[in-house]
Amino acid sequence: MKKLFPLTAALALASLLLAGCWDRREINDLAFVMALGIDKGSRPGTFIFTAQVAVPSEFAASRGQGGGGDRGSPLPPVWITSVEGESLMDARRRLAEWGPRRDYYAHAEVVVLGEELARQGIAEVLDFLQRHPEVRRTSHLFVAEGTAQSILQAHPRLDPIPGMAVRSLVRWSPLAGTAQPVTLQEALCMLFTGRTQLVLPRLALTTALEQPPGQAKPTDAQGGNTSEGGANTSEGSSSDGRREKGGKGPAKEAGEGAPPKPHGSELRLMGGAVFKGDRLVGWLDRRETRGYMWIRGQKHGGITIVSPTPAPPGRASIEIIRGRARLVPELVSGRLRMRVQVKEEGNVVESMAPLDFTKAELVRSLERRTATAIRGEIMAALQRAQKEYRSDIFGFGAAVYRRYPGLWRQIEQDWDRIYPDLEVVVEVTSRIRRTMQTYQGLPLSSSPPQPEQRQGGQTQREGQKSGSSPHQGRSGQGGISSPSARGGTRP
Amino acid sequence: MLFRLLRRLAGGSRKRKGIPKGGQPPFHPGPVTEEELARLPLPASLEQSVSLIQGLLGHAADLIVREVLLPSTPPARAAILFIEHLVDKDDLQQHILKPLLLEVAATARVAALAGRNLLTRLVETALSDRKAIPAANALQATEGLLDGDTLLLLDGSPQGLILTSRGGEGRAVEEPDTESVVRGPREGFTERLHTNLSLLRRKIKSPNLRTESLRLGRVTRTQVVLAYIEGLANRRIVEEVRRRLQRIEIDGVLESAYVEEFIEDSPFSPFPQVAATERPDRVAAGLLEGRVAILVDGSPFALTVPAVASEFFLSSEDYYARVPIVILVRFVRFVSFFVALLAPAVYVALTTYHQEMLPTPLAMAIAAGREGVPFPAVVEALLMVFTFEVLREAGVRMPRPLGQAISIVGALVIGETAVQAGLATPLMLIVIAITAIASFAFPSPSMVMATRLLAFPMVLLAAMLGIFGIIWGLLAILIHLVQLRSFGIPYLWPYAPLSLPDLRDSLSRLHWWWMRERPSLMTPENAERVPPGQRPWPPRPHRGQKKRGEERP
Repeated sequence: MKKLFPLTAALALASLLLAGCWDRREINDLAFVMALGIDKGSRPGTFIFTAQVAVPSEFAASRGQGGGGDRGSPLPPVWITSVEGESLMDARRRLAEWGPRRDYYAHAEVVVLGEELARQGIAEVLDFLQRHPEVRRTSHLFVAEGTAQSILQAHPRLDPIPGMAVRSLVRWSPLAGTAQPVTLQEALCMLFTGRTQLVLPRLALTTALEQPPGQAKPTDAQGGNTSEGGANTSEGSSSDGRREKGGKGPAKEAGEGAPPKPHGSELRLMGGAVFKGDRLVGWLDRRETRGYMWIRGQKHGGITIVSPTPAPPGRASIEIIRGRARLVPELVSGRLRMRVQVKEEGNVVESMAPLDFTKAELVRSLERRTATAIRGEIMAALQRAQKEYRSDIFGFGAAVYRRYPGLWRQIEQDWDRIYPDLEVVVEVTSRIRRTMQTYQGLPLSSSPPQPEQRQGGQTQREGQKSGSSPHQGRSGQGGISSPSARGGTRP
Repeated sequence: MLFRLLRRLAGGSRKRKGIPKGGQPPFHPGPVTEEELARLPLPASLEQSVSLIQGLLGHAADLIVREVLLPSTPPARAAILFIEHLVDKDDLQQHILKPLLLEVAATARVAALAGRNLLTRLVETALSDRKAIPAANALQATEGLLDGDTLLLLDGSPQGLILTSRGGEGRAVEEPDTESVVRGPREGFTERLHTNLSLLRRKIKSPNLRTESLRLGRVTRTQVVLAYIEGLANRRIVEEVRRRLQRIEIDGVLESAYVEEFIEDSPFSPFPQVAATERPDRVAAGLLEGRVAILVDGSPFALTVPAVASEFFLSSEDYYARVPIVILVRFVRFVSFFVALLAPAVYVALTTYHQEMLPTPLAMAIAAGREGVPFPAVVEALLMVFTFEVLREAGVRMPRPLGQAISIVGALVIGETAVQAGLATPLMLIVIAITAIASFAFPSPSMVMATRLLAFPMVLLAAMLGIFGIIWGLLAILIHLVQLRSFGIPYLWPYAPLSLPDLRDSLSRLHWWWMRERPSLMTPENAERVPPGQRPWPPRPHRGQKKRGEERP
């Protein structure tokens, strides 16, 4: 009996091993879906399911050759396949009809939703994504301009796999500060609580080169910069362009009405897609997205261009390094009011004039102007989302719920009606922390070869077209006149 | 009476061998047991005792018998017996024969002495420079001879004299091949017990260092020495070691591993419960911590007990290097233990069950590498681990120059070509290489083998149950380790049971002035090792003198 015990125990333990192996699958039996695109199908209720599957051998080969320009094929090492199905799961399973491997979603970090689908509603899609154990809650959601399928067919050069390229785009997007990445988890949370509406970043296809001056507005992309440089400098001008509504101006990448430029093959983050409930209701352009991000965003970045004085002897670029927003709902004589307090910190990263940053008043004036510019962005976002789309993307409802839960229960049903007319007070405090490696601008040549010259001695920087500068100044001034804008409150 | 016994002893063998009777036949007692030898007294007659010894040793070819006439008054007949190559010939010549033949005359002339009295006088005078043990029976006499000592027999004395003269061929004290250090003493134990003991004595010049000798092996009669420091070693542990040693009955003890197998607590555990080392400094350090050392003649490996798990991650150099470096080094060893144990298993688990845990580019790379590999990852892993074991074993057994060839074959042929032939993925090879290197990172060979052995079941578990299986395996190992004991000391001590003061010398080591207490479980009372207040300080500045002074611990 005593001798039987170890034997029995060993057998019992060994029998546990029988539970093994059932979900064993070798890594080379899997089709790694790198990005997932979901579009509306041809008939109502159907979906088109697009999977961008990495081809490992090609991927390894492209890496093995060391990123040299002379790669054999310019095509990315992916295989893209689309399937239409009655439901998402139906479509997905039909993939097996021609995909020789099991589709595997754990590495899909990007989910792109087609525009039309988004306008119909994305609740079904999110349910599918949420229900599935393989799909990561940390994968990022995007709304395509046009179809998701077309986005997945892009072939960016820097990152061979488009899905990974998009992921990297998101990672560095705070540099430009014009897109707020949203993970599946965050989107689900917002949809479930319903007190904050969803804004997903918008993806579009463009070319990497922006148009040189003469064809477009004579503002940006001065030295034929890459899209990054263009994006930064176009910040001010693009917002100018957006001010005239309807996308009349030739603003390159804005405007929901404006047809996109001939499609290139480069992916670009372009503002945000505003949802109400699970339905897409409209777009935010860059400037409005930044305004939205001042209130909602976690990572701040991007450039604000300000002039130190009203009569502009020059401009300076402020790079935002930190930002924090508080939403304070207030009850003023029974009326609900929302106070938005934004605190910003930035560095002077560029001075287009011989400014002496050792002068406290100059710095303070810059801070004030930065605050004004930021306020302008916030106001633009408010205008668009609150008045036009009537979607509470800022989480005002959530703020009210947190502060006045009882009141919220009463007004929850009516919130859609209350929200568009809610009074919003915007207070911006701005600080300048550093001037980077120097504290003085260089004395510029007094005789630039450009016709317009102002303020003897102090001139625009060479090559800097004057067109945008007064605009910028004016936008700053406009902000200052507003009573609730506050400059830097240095003690 | 004596002859009756002798005849009885010899009778059987004479019949068996069929030696004809008559004349004075050579004395053949046949195989004798220890008890019989002990009961056999040395006869007083010189001829009889010489022939007894010769007979007991079977008229061995290398037994040298020299009969001499001691120049005492009256001259005494004596015989010097030794085994040729076991003695130090110069020593014998200079310090035994010479005094006996030249000096005895002067010292023994005073009074006419004979027999036993002469023997004692000799010990006091001519042979006073060495250890001399009187041998009253055949057991003592033969044992001394076989140890390499010289037996002096005197006519008319029923006692012989064992004179130590051990010597002969042997290895010099060299730096040990295992456990090499950059900084630290370069001497290692040899195969000679007395050399080893002297190495130990030189390190610990305390009167409290106890050495107890006993003989193990019914045939080999190997000398085994139990060493400990009285007052530091736990009396009960010493008692237990002694008891376990005395219990051993075996034909021969050729290496300390024989002893180890008899005294360890759990013979079926893959983990070593007795520490073996070639380094005298390491044994000395063990003794100072209250451990008991066991030295076996013929083996350069000394054993120390009790042994705990953390000990196998130590190198004696840990105590000679600077503390911050030791922290890093021990951490590296600790990590490499898990790498050696788990790396192939984790690779198998990740590639067959948990592909989501791999970074995307890595997953791509593995998938690309496995394209066209005919085996599942488990088979691949087992194949490569096994290949490595074969290579390692071959490399160890082969003579050095051939070992080189084997490593070339292993690295180039197996590594490069296996990948090209599509038998293995490059990443698998990297995993195996990392496993191999990690397993060499910790100093104890027996612990290395334990991890190697356990790596196989871990791979199988990973193949069947994934990470879940690995956790299973780790839990099983943990449960086993927790219940392991080495001479009453829990194997995972000082982690489980947790002993905070002893953690100062476990995963890391603190400065000597900080490790103020000896290991609490080994030493009888938690005795102080380092008195307080020895932390080095800069010389006191003129100002703030008082303040500094107060800060001193």
